Amino acid sequence: MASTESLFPFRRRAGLRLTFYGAWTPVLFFIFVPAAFTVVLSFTDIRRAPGVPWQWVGLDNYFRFFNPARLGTSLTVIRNTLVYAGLTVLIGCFVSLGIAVLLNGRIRGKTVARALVFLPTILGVTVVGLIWSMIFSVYGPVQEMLSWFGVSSNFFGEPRLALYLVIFVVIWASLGVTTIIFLAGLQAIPAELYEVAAVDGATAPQVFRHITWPLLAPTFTTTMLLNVIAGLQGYALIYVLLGTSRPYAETLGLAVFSAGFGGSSTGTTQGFAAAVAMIQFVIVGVVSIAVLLFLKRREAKL
Amino acid sequence: MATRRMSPYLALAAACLMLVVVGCAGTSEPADEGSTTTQNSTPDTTAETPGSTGETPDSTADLSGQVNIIAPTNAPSDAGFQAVTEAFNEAYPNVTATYTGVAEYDTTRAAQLAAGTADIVVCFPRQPQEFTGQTASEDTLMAQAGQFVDLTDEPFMDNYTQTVLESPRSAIDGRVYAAPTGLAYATGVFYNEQIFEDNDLEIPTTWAELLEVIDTLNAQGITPFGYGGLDAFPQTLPLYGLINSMYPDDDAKWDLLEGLWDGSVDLTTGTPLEILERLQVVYDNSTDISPGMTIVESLAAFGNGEFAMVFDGTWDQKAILDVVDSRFEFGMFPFPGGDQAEENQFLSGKIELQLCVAEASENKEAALAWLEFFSQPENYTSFVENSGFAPAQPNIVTEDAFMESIAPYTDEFRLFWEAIFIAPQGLAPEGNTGFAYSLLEPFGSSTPEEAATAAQAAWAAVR
Repeated sequence: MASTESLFPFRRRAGLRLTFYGAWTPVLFFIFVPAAFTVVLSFTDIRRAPGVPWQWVGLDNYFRFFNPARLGTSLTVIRNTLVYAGLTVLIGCFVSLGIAVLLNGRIRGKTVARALVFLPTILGVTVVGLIWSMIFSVYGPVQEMLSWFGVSSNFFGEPRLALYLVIFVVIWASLGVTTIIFLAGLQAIPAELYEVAAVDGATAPQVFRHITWPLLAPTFTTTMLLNVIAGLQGYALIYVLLGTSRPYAETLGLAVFSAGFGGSSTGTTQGFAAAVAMIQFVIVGVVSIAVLLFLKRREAKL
Repeated sequence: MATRRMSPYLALAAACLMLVVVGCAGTSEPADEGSTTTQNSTPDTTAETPGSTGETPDSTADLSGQVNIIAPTNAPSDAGFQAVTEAFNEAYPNVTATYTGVAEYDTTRAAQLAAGTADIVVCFPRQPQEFTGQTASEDTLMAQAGQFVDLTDEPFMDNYTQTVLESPRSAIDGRVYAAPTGLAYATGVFYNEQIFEDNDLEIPTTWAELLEVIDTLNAQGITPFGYGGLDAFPQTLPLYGLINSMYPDDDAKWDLLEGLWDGSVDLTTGTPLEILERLQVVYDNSTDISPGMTIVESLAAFGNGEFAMVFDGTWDQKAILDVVDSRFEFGMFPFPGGDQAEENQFLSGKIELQLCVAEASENKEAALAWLEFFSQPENYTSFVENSGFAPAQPNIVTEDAFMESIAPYTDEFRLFWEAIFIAPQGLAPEGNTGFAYSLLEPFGSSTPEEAATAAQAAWAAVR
């Protein structure tokens, strides 16, 4: 009887094996093979152009990225990536948490408010880019408001401002998903705990500190980790709003895109793009593991 | 309530079936997003259709098959290609030619060439420069690898201007793999003739005269310049105008490039520094919102009379015509960056879209027939009139008044700096174009001397 249960829902071990290996086949084929192929490509000078011979170049692509002549540029790209990921994750998560707590309370028009918060998620990157490029146009409404105070801005054309404006737009666009995840986490907290706290006369900050915050920790960890990974890989809105020719706003994700798909005029190869992708992979892996360990430790302390 | 559980084997079989169905569903050819195509689309009624006799010569009836032409989408050139393709389909009843303007061109081209579905593509093979010692461009490598048909001995190539075909941006070791669809000039300035007339201004032919024009306009409260800096390249156009004046012919520009590569050109003194100093004057006299404007916004602002001159290439002359909407006359003059008028009397530019025939094409004969048809003077005239390109064939008479107006500046085809410049691998952004324009105000905060020093350091680091 016990052996039958361990094989559930199959009656024989063969069925279990068949589904197990059957499920692994697409994982291997669609995830591990392309990943391994990317590693191999990073040691070549392969291009998109069909029929053009390619060669093994060893670690040249990696040396090229860290070449002293362009080390400053590469470090700027890495710094931009960390700034982009750091700000989108921290501001995005805490603003989303605040909105989720508000939406979880007893407020009027809660359903409409939730729909409005989630709306940008449905719009998609290109539409979001279009909307904000009009809002932050030099002839747009924000410029008009600035003119009331006698100032003006070039918005996305300002090197010192452009990346931060994109970060703002990214946070706006991703608030919906993060808020919904936090909302789901909040609704999983037993209502009895809040009732007991109310009977004990706990204030709202005390309730948040001692009930909501600790019980939301697993959700917070998951959300932070997902957002860190997405942030370190992010480039889509930078591409839509600024294009690929802004060194001051280039992230690793955009560098991979530019190298791989930036056009034949860029002089780059897909081998180089693969090498930058591998560098990005290592950075994403190291940062993600560090964030995970930190958050898990924090969870244990709460 | 009792429920029946689906057998796991049945579920597995159903999942496999779904995979097969999904896989099969992908066999129909999806339409390219952001693309335009002549097939199954209403012809552009504004496009001028090339003359077709309606009669079908015997030789054209013998040819059959399909020809797929792709190019980066752009409304005027799309209209030109569509008009020629429609006329070709009439002249060759057994051949179906399809033109598609593609938004994500490079990716689409790579995929279609790999799949063998593109017959004629836009490509830019160029002569590799030995002094660079680095790998040639992707299109050059493809041409050298025999991926494009060698067009050198095709009789229809005689229709094109020979100096254009012999340009290092066209021929590789004397062999030509691409037919030029036209030329574009980028070292001029579009100006508002009404503003010039109202302020008794003549077209400046020297730097000193340009400074006088700037002073007069400023005194009248008129902003001299504007450009669409948000789209990046327009801010380089005054730089290319200055380089064109200081290094007027192609040989001088090639020498400058070689000097950058071998270190014999010092960017921090003499002419290179003077270029940056004069560029700063242009930026200082441009509307403050130039870095934040798109090209479209800059043209609209020019059309609204917000500034007297706008930097853009001749490829946008039809767009300017639209935004100006007959409110005033406009023209173009070569940017007078040099001290002598003779240095500033030419426009330089680039070869526009170049057409290559894929060697792997299953319909090579039909593809060459399309290219031959395109190259016939009457069809080519129709194309340049629709596209707004300057002709790459001699003796093409168009009804384009703007092109006629700049004809005195384009007697001889000269390449502008962007078409010549080759950056070494690993060059930091400060060294790009050879002149660190992006460090000057309003994009950065460096003086011309500081910017020149940064560019010099960037080049020294890669030598």
